[in-house]
Amino acid sequence: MGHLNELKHKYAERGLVILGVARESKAAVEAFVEETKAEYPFLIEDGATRKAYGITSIPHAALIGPSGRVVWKGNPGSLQDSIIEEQLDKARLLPELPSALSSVGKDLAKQKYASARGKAEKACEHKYEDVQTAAKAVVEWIDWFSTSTMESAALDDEKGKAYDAWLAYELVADAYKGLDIAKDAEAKAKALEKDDEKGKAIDAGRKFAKLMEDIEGQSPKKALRKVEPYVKKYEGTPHGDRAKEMLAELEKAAD
Amino acid sequence: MRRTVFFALPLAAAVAFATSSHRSADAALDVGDAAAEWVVQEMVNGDAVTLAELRGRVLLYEFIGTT
Repeated sequence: MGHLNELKHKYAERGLVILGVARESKAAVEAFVEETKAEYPFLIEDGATRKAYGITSIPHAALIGPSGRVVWKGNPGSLQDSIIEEQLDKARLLPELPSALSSVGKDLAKQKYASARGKAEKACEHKYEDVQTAAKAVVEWIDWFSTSTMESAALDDEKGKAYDAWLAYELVADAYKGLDIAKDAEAKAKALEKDDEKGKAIDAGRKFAKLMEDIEGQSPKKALRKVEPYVKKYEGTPHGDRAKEMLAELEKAAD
Repeated sequence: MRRTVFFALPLAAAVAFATSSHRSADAALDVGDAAAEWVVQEMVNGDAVTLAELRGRVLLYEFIGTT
């Protein structure tokens, strides 16, 4: 049995999720699964995730901690159990929800955490103990998630990723609307917008999605004309610099 | 065939990268960075999940090459 299957058996219950990432055809990945007897899912994508992690050699693995941040990268064979266990100790799992909490489950799926929290808090007084226990765990998870997201946003801000920080603050402001934490997040998002440099980075991030939509399906020549002014305006921000790289590719393709 | 951004390679990879994650990662993600969301084309051996759904859990990616 493969190393990753062993890890799954050992740690899935404590919250470890293993995900294979491939960019080959479905048939090739199915053959790989057959051959290796891998017991975990594989996502097939266009290589974007691989590129995002700067993966140049195979096999390669990356470990993401409970807060959604990279904690380890390397050859999967050299990943020590102690590194995984250290993260599993910090894992926060949502409980299996009893049917009395199905409406809480729907809120959670839609990231309506303020609403979910309100319902779960009431259910902490439910007549059945299993409902109480699950409800308490939900409230704890929701509170943990807001704290963890706020911390993550502050880290992104420190790392010069104002747009990412802003997205995280906006998520908290929206998902926890009506609670104090939402006001705090809203104020922090506004403060980022007001800062000249960070405000520009946020603006660049927001317009980036639109730019990508605009150039999809266009000829390199036409796309060039749309990317150029964007780069001019936003160069020096993370998204502006990324667009600049694209511009170079477009220029090559347009030749 | 008329070339478009969608079909032009290796541009496709650059654009796909840019569109799949609108976050600020301009250099390769390293320890301490926020993980990147992915765009699934197809799943094999299981159901699709999102990064957001896995918050609170520990995620281990295995990057494979079958060729």
